[in-house]
Amino acid sequence: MGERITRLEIRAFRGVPNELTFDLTGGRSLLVFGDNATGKSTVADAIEWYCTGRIDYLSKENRGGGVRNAASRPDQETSVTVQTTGDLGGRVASDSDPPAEVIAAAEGEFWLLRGRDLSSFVEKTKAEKLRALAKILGMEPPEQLRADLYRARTNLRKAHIAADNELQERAEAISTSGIAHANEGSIFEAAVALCDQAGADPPDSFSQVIDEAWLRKRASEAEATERHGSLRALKADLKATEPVRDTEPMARWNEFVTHNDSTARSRIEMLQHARNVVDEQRDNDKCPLCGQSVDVDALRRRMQAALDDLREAAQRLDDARQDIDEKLIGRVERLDSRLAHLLSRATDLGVELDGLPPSPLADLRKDVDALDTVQPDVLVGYARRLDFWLDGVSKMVEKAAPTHTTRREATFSDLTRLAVLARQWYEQRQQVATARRAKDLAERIYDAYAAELQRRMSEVLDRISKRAADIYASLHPDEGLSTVTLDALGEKAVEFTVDFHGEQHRPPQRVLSESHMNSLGLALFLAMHDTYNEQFGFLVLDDVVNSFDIEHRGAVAKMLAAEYDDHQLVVLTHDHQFYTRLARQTPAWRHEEFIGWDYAHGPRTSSAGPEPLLEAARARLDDDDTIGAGQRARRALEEILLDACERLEAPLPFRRGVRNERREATELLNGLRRALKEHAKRLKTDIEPLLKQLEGDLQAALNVEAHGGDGRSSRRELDSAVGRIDELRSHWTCPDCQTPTWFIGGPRAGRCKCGNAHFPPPA
Amino acid sequence: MSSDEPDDVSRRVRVDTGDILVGALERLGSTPESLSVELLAVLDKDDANRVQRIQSAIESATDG
Repeated sequence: MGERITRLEIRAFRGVPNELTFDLTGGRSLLVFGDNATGKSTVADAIEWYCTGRIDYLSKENRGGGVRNAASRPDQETSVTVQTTGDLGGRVASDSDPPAEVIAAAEGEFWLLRGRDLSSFVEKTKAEKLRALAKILGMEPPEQLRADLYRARTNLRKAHIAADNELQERAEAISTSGIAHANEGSIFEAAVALCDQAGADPPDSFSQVIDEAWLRKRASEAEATERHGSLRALKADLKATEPVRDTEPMARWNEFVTHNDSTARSRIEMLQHARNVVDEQRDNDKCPLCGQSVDVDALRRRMQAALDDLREAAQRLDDARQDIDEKLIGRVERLDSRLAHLLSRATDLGVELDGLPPSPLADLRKDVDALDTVQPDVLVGYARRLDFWLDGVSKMVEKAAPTHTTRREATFSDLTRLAVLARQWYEQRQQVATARRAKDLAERIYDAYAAELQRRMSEVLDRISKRAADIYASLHPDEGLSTVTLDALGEKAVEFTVDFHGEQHRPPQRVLSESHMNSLGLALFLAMHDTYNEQFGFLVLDDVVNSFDIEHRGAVAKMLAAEYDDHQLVVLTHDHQFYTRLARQTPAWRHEEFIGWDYAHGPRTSSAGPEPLLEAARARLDDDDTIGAGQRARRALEEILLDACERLEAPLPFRRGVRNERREATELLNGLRRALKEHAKRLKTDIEPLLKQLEGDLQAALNVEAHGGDGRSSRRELDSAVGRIDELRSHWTCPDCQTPTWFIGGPRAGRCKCGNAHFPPPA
Repeated sequence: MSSDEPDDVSRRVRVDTGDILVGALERLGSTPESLSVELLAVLDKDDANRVQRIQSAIESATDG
């Protein structure tokens, strides 16, 4: 469990002109009620400012500098001081940043939720959700390695394809020797047949066919035919040479560079550098790049969003580059290399061929490197000129070959050519095997890594999903919403799936109302808090039930009281029904009401709940303020009766709407009587005299509004009434843990928190 | 509504590059050490920065 706040001091900050302090000794939870504009959100603002040095919603609205209260004295410094159960406490002022370790912890944990942000995560796109989660979960380094392994795998695949294409070309060259399917057996058999025809010793194996020593020996047997054979091989190779004609890759490339942001790669580096400069900026009001006034936090967010977009554009560019490299430039490169080789072989054989037509390769590379469009006409023209050249040089080679050869010479020539081609084919096949092993290795590693990454991600999502589903189900029991899960969709997206009346729906907006979407947002946030928080043991919820109806506000109060009793919550609300419901179920929390606000003094607060109200009543009596004392004592009695009636399920007349929550104390007393009659008759009999006295108090000492000025109750009457209220409470309050005897369980069988007191009380 | 395993729910989950790599290699019946030799050998013509990052990740997994 992380650190809790034990004390919060707010000075000259937001709605507080002077000072506002909350003593939360032991890290107890805080529940604050206040109408709008009473300054309650200042509490959330102060904690956020202390933890991050900023207030997010003000930064979004370009009001980042508006943290100082306008009515504060000039000598009063704006500051927030936080004491915690650990080391994260400290003081932040206008001229000092939060401690670095606090900012670091705040960035990676879940501790503040405002009503306005409730459904923001739920409503992100599935790709945005993944990016947001990846950042939270620290997945950027693993994702970088995945991208590197992906790129390495792609490059090795390309190398394998190129080697395989080369092998196909070698096989095609061999096919001109009458071998339909080149393999060791077919080549060996063809070599044996040629030797038989020439009357030469046949090879023992395929290895011998490609052995240069064996070939030299055969050549010496038919020295005169060697050149002839080579020329025939050259002629066959020229015939097998096919220009590159496919212009489709060029069309795809042109489409990409015309319609996409192809300058992303260079801009990423520049923007990342600028982002680093901004990150190092301490002054939040000035741009470190141009010096003008600017909201630096907003600037950081805009830069990050731009970086994300650019990275996606850069990925698309990489894919387009890979396509044209592989399908066009690589093929032209191999073709040019082959032509140069053929030209060189002709020169070695003493045949001077016409010069090659100029290759468009350099221009193509230049255009692609410059992210410019490429011209298909250039490729088409090159193919046409090559066709013409190949036709011409084939005739030249034909002419250079001896016109009169013996059958034996021709056979030796064929044998020599076959041996040369077979060796080239064999060597290329070795290269393909090496390239395939490299590609297979990279594929295996990438696949295993990507699967493991996704497995870990799914594991994380599963943990969050389970917790969120539990919370969500507790907020919406019996509504046919059986399951909510957060699922990884491939490697690039995350989305919710909701099981709605037996059918799965994704995204949940299809079937959920706005209120249910907000419930889902709340459930997810609490699940993230429960799953991930290590350092922050507190959770601030600022007006999160605004869009919930009465029934679901009650469900939220019940869930927070039951599930987060051992957490520290700071709950701020302007909803009185939610406040009273939660207050009744959380006697150990500190309860505060912000009952007003004025310019000079800021929020006016009043502690709420039976105990502090009775204490406040006694304090007013000490000051001879009988009206103030009467008001607080009556409220204390109402709080006690409301809690008892709710927990004992007292039968009260149903009223539609908010009036169901607002009842006269005498009505509540009758409801309590009915509940006790059903569940604890003896207790009812015992306290009936006390209830009658309290009825009298409500008509007299506690009837403050009716007294006006001259008919005030005496101090003695009020003192007695306060004592009776306290006595009523004591009948179902454990003397050890000070919680009601129905704290756990219900009207038929309940007990206090420590288990020492029970309801109904034992006979 | 509470989890049956409260300690498990509160356990923090983070995604670590080295852990994932080791997990992936276990699927392949390999180790970071052997991967270092095999993969880096076939990446000799790849982008130097990328190879450096992959090497660092493998070393991190080895250290872990």
